[in-house]
Amino acid sequence: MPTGSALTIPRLDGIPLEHQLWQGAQAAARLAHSFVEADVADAADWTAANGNPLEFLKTALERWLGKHGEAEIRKQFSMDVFLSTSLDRYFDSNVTSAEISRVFLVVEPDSAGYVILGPTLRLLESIHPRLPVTFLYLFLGALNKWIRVFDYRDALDQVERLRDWYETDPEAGEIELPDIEHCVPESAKRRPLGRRALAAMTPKIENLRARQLLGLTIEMDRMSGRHEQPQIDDAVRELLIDYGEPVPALLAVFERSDPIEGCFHEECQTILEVTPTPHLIIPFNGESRQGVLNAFATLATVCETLSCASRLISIMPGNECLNDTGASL
Amino acid sequence: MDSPAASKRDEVLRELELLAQGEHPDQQTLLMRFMQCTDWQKAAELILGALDASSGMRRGTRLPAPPGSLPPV
Repeated sequence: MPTGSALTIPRLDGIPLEHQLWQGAQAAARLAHSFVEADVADAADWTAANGNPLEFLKTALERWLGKHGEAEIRKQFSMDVFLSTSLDRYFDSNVTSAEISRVFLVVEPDSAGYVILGPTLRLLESIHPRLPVTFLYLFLGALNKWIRVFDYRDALDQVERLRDWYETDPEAGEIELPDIEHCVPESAKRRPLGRRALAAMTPKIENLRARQLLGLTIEMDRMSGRHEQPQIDDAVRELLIDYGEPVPALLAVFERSDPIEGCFHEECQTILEVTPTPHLIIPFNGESRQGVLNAFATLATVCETLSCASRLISIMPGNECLNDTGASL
Repeated sequence: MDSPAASKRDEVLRELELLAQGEHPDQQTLLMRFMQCTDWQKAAELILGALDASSGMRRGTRLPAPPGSLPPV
């Protein structure tokens, strides 16, 4: 065919067959840079991430969690950790934001773990009358700092709320509400021992199981106290104003199927009607190595506390065969 | 001399820095340059719109006016 009177078919030799584009890749690269600088991410994972900073961050987070007790935590808790520039997972209008001066690490439960406290309290009461309440105070206190535990106090609040509603409703007939007060053991109503007294008493306890339980409780209390809960600013608080209560990550009952468990199931009927507030939000500056270091130091405290709680629950009498599936919401 | 791990770390940090600034070789391909240039994208949209409009005009068939309607003024 003579040249000049024909169409030239473009040649595609040498043209890359695959192009990849990631939304927010530049912001992710800046965050990944801070992660590597803070040694939270391992540079060796970069090749496997195939040059994708988002994939690299995901691998870094998974590897970090693996090193901080993820396997142990998963035995009793079902939780997710999110790394995001936004707290709104469903209606984010700012997905293209390149802003990483405020990044969030969010810990949210998938379903609630389950622990029976009664047999442990009875074992400890046989050693000292104030040990059960001391155990409860430290165990629930250490956990409630980082996750929401649904326990007898939540059940009491719920019953109180229901009573108020029924009392103000003239059409409500005779309503029988669960007797939570009655199911709280007397040993849980005493005054707890001080930390020093407990630390002095524990090594002298002859019962091996009780000694292990209290040893882990002391360790858990110490770990949980290493960091303060992160503060969230007014802007974040305003964003969460329409969100509901946090989802419980653990249901703590005294006996299997007791009225506290009933109240928990009652709460489950409505808890997901509105988006729940994440119980733990760790905001940090993703532009700086120090910001990343501080955030992950706090997350390490959370993981170590949960890991210790997981070990503790697995040796608590009455819990040995539980928690294969958790208490689903 | 730097250990292999330290030099790998430095290499990854340099690469991430280039990516963050949009200067990584992977971001210099035709497609990437197109994705980053809003003027280019707008020009492409205009050409596409013009092509659509002109082909629509050529393919269009004139509908007969309903009986009793007045001709356009």
